[in-house]
Amino acid sequence: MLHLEAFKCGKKIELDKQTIRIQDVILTKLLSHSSQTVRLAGLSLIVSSASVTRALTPNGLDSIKRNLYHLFAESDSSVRGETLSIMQRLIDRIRAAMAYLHKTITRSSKAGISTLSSSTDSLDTLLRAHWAFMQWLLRFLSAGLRPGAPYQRHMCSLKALLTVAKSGIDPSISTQYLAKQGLVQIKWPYQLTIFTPWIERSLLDLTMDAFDDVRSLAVTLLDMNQHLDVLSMGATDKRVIRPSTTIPRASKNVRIGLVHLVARAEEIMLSSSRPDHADGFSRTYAVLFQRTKDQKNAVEGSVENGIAWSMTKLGIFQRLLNLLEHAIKIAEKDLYDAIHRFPIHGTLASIR
Amino acid sequence: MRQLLVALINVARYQEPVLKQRLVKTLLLRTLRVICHQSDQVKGKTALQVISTFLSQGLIGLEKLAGEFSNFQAKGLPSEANSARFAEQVQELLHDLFSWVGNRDTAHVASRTVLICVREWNVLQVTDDKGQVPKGLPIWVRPLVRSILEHPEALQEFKNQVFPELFTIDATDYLSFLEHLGLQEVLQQDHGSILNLKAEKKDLVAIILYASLQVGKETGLVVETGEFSKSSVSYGI
Repeated sequence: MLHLEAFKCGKKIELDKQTIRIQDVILTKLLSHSSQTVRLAGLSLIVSSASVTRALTPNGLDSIKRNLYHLFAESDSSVRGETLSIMQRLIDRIRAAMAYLHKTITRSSKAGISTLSSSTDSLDTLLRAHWAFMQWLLRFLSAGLRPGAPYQRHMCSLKALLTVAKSGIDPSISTQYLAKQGLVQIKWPYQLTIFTPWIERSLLDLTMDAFDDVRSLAVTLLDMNQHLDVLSMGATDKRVIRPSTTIPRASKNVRIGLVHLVARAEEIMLSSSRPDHADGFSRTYAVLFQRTKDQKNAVEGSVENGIAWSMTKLGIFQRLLNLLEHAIKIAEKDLYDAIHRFPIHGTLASIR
Repeated sequence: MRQLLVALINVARYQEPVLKQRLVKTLLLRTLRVICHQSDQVKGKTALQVISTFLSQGLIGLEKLAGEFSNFQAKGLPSEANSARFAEQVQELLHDLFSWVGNRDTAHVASRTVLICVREWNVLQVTDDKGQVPKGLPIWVRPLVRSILEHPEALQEFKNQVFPELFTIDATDYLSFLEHLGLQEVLQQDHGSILNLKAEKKDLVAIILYASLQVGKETGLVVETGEFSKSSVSYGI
């Protein structure tokens, strides 16, 4: 005999025909459980669904918002990996649910204003709740890119940002970068700009991070940004910002051009001689090289600013070669000085 | 392999009853030897295929199979065999079948064989009018939990190969299974009374429960309800 009554714990769990109904409040509680296994299971249970177009409950979205901070700070890398895998499913589901809700509301609206019922209003509220969640998520992820954030937060934010970017929510991202799911017929009903000035700047700063995987992911994301300026900002912000220092909140001067980033990376590399900085230096050069179109006429002002070399790929290569030759000359004169002030591995990696 | 088995079944069907019985018994004994002694996976896969085909083609019934299995294990039926004993035999058989799920090569066929057995058991329960088939906890629950507790590393295979089809056979059975795992206690974050197990096993049981709930959600058996579902609006899509 089925002890159905036993399951009706305050009607939080009940059997309805062939479906077991569980109140979302019970599942959301699991996200703040002391056991990491239970926390992961809770997140997975909230996100899983037989139908990808089924909307999440407002409670489910709120609980994810409340708990994503500590889920992204898990010390166990496998748990973080699992969390990110669930985040991928979450984003797929939100996209599909929003697409369906938007379609349903549009159909109802087309049928005439008089037929708009309270159900359509509620669907609209639900749609807005999903969209508000995506906007919050982008803010949350961008906050996770700040230079002072721990490694775990950096990695999770970068990977989740990559997932969001690949989902096709930002139309400015070329289709070649989109995931298979992002190319399917289900499209986001609204659009979001991923590469805000703050995120762009944070990614540029992370190219000089101490961790290889952080640098690599930052560059991968920068590659997706079609509108990354080579020359923007310019003279107003010439501060040399060391990695792992706190940078100010987004301001008018937050934008930094690739040329300035390269100059900054070069300065950091030469002053520290650290291999991670050398790697970051070579990665920034790679980004600049890919962005540079061979322009016959230098951009106005570039010659005066002494950055005409960045206008052509040959110019970039020539500059690296000059750097190398300069370092070799120094080495011929004073090897100690060359080792400490003119390391060449970053330059060699850039040429490669 | 399947064609060979179907041919064998056809041959057996047209034999004299005595010859047929002897043939089936011989085949079953050889098959059970492989299954019970956990021989290599190639033989195991074939043996499981033999049993599932025999059951699905109606050459043998679950009762016969469970009896032969019990005899083979030298746990012969006592003369005053009762319904509880029959259930015990079937549970032992299911436990042995579940033990093949841990191996990726045999997981699928073992799962199929279990499903055939469970469906046949459910039919016996419905058609039983002599009280031979006991009612209560679904027949597969105890052997399933026991098998996973013995081989927790096989949980993923169970989750992929066994859970989805097993749970969808009957939602009430699935719910009973969740109750047996302590659904109430775990979801209320009270791990104190799950099956009265030791602390290390409680976590494992909770993991089985979450895996089962997730499969339930993915197959549509479990649905979460929120504030919107109480109004006239159905956001379930």
